[in-house]
Amino acid sequence: MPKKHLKRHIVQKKGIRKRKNKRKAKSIFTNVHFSISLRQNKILIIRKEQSLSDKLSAKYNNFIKTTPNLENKLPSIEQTADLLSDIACELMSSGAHTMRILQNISRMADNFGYRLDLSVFQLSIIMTITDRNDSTKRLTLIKKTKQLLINYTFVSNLSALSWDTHDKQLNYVEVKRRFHEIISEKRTSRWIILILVTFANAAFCGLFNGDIYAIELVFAATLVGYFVRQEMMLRHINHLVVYTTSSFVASIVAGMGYIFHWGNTPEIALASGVLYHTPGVQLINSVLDIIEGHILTGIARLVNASSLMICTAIGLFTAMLLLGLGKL
Amino acid sequence: MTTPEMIQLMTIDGILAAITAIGFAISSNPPRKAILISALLAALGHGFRFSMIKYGVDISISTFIVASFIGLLSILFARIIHCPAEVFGFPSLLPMIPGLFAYRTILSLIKFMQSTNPIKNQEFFMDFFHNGMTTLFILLALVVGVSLPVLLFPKLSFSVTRRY
Repeated sequence: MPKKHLKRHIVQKKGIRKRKNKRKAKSIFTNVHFSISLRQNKILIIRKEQSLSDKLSAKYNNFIKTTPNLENKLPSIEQTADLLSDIACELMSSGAHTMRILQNISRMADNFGYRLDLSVFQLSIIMTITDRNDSTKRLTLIKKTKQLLINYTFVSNLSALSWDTHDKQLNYVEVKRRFHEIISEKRTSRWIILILVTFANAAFCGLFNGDIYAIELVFAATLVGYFVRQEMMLRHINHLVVYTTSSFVASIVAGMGYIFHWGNTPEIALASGVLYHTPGVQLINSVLDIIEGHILTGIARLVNASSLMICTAIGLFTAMLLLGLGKL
Repeated sequence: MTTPEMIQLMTIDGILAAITAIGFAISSNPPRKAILISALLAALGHGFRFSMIKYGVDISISTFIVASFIGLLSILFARIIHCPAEVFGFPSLLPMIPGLFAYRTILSLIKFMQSTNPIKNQEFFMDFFHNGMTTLFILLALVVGVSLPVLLFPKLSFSVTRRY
């Protein structure tokens, strides 16, 4: 954008704000430092869109550099514990295995001058941090984790952040800013996921020597089943119910090969129609946890994954009963 | 089976496995570069496993060999693109997860519960154990194989995201 336009753009924006709500605009501009430091995340999002907020964030950076409290003083133990437990929860809910969580978090705590003991469970994490120089300064906290939604971009970026913290000696504010930047990243569009998973499951049917009819059936079944699953997930229905219903719908579609006698391998279509439900990452994570000695967490993950698989099988079995089929 | 035929079958198998890996990987939302690498690793791994099974190697042993191969390669790639190894190591194993065996295990258990005929019951029980053990051993082979490099070189594999 040329400079002239940019200027006008800024002026317009200011004008609109002032006209709309003079009082609010004033409060934004007078208390600018305060509101930004409270809501870094929002400002960062605006920063990408508007040139006006670029100015604001420059002010914000200056503010951090010039204010001694944030730059030079060590953060309080509560602040550090909150940040570290947030990062641990985010790692847990995006599907990192326990060893990685432990390593990343204790590396960051080390940089801030604390010693850390952490135990991770399925629904909560328990964490104690102790000051390395003064062992009377200690804090224990329990934090609820969010629902599992596997996201390897977060795992990768947070792991990189922990190494950066260690190598570049990043301060508390910088780490917090980058953490919020990482977790505000968007997921891949659900429609792209739907299409790719559909093709993937159709190809999976091909791996089990299904003929072209079976592959087409699985394609249709996965398209319908995965769509149902996404819609139900958006409405926050219980996971087990989602898996059962979705696998039921998919198996009804895939079982049509038996009813209308399409192709020679309708049983492969029926069997691989629900394979997109297999919770592969959880299964691998659980065995990895058990190998590395975090047995409780590993067993919790294993039970979680197998209950999902049992629900899928129940949906499949219900569909087979309805269609009058006995064999898989 | 002649060699050219085998290579052809292996290639088809590898391509199908690559498509599968891309689809199953993207639902775990990895970085873009990692998706392509996991597709490549899955194609290599599944193709080799296919040929090994065709030449008469047991399924869990061949899975173990292939998984450790994938684990080594994924640490190599992890050092190149600065991502944790499991980000593309695990999605490339997803085509080999024994989902079909697992569902057969649960279905034979349900049928065992329903049936009253003792001879049929024995059959279902055998089915349950056969499929269940296959699931368990393949899963163990996969995970132990892929984490063998991590267990052997822990320092190397936990520092791949380090840039300095």
